[in-house]
Amino acid sequence: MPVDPEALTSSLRRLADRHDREADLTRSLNDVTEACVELFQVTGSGIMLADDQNISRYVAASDGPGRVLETVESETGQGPCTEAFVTTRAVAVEDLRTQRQWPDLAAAVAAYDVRAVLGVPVRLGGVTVGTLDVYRDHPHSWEDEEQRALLRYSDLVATTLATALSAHKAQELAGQLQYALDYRVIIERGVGYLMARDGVDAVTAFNRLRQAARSSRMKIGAVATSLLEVGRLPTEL
Amino acid sequence: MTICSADVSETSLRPPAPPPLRSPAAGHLAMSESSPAAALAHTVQVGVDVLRVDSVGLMLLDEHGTLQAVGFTDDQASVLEATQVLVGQGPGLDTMDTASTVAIADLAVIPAYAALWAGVSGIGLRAVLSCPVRSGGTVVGNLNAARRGPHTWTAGEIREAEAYAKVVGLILDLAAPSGSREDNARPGEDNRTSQEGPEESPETSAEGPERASRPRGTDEQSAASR
Repeated sequence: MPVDPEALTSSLRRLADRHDREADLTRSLNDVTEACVELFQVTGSGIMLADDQNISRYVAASDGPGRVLETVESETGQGPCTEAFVTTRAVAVEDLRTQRQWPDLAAAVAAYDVRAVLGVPVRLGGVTVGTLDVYRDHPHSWEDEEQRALLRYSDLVATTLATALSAHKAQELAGQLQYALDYRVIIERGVGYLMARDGVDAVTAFNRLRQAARSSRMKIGAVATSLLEVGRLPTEL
Repeated sequence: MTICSADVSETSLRPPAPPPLRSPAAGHLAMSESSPAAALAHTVQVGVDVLRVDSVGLMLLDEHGTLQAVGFTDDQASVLEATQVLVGQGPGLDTMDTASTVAIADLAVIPAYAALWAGVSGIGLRAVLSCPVRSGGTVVGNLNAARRGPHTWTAGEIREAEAYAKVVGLILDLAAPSGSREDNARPGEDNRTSQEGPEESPETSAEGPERASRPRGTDEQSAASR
């Protein structure tokens, strides 16, 4: 057995005895991003998690530029981290300044030394609930080995989340993620439907769902449900 | 791409019929599936890949202050931890004593670890990097990364292992049941059988000055490489 449950329980009891305040998940996630910088020798790192609209949002970063990167991605709905969230695969970009896929993002972070970016999905129980993102302040080609190692580390982010949720130390986040977990499958089906119907990529399809949700003041899960029922977005009716 | 690739391939001229709906409840996942033991087992296992070592073990102080082998990735790490506890010597114990990282290039040539080596010489692990695991600013255990064959740990590897040990500590913090010292006080709490020094010593405070790593066996490792 890889872990002795009795010994661990005894150790955790000791920690409970000594804790004057509860562990804070946000602080823990910030620590996870700082450790990520040390472990992978990157300039900065951040974590984005699905909100109650299943939109990937900034929750933690090791530094200011990393926070800007993630905040801008949330606002513009574009970028490697967003794409990693929507497509549930690692997305690497060698140099944000020279790529043409995400012009709004490139313009927004031009003032910061955010050049090479790698986003990997964070999966909780097999469902993508966010991304772990790293960047370097210079152009860099992300090797397969780096991507695999970061994917492995993203498992640790998921473990951190699951531990906090299991210990009931992240109730607000639990509610937020539960929506994402509940509706992820339906949203993915909606995305797939729009991809096929409109001949667009996954991120574009996701952003159409997101835009329709905003315009119709509905939750994105409800928009996807409606789309799958009638074949049209609420804004197309 | 994993999203609905089948949907894309099955149509080019007309949109597909909307797929049958699944109940939102179908996406509901038991977020309580992750027990502390499962979380720690996973964390220790991921350590092998992230730290690029052969084995990882975790030793923690129990509620009586006794150091125990709690987690390990394989039989080798299990033996290494159990033997340290049994013979009362080893890098994990020294990490507790000093509240700092202990880097051992080759267990076989450290005179102070002769009894340990006698017990673990058959398992193949030679180089050990032991980092303190902290919770709430105090040392509560140690994370041991080990390699087969002698190996001089680089400054970068030491930083990485220390960063990983920090993550282990925060997962422990999150896994620990909520409570206060007053609420959970037990008779005999101070009846520690060993390793009470680091927890009570001001040296173990996270607010204290950074402690340099304490590589040992550098000379011996050089000799071994000759």
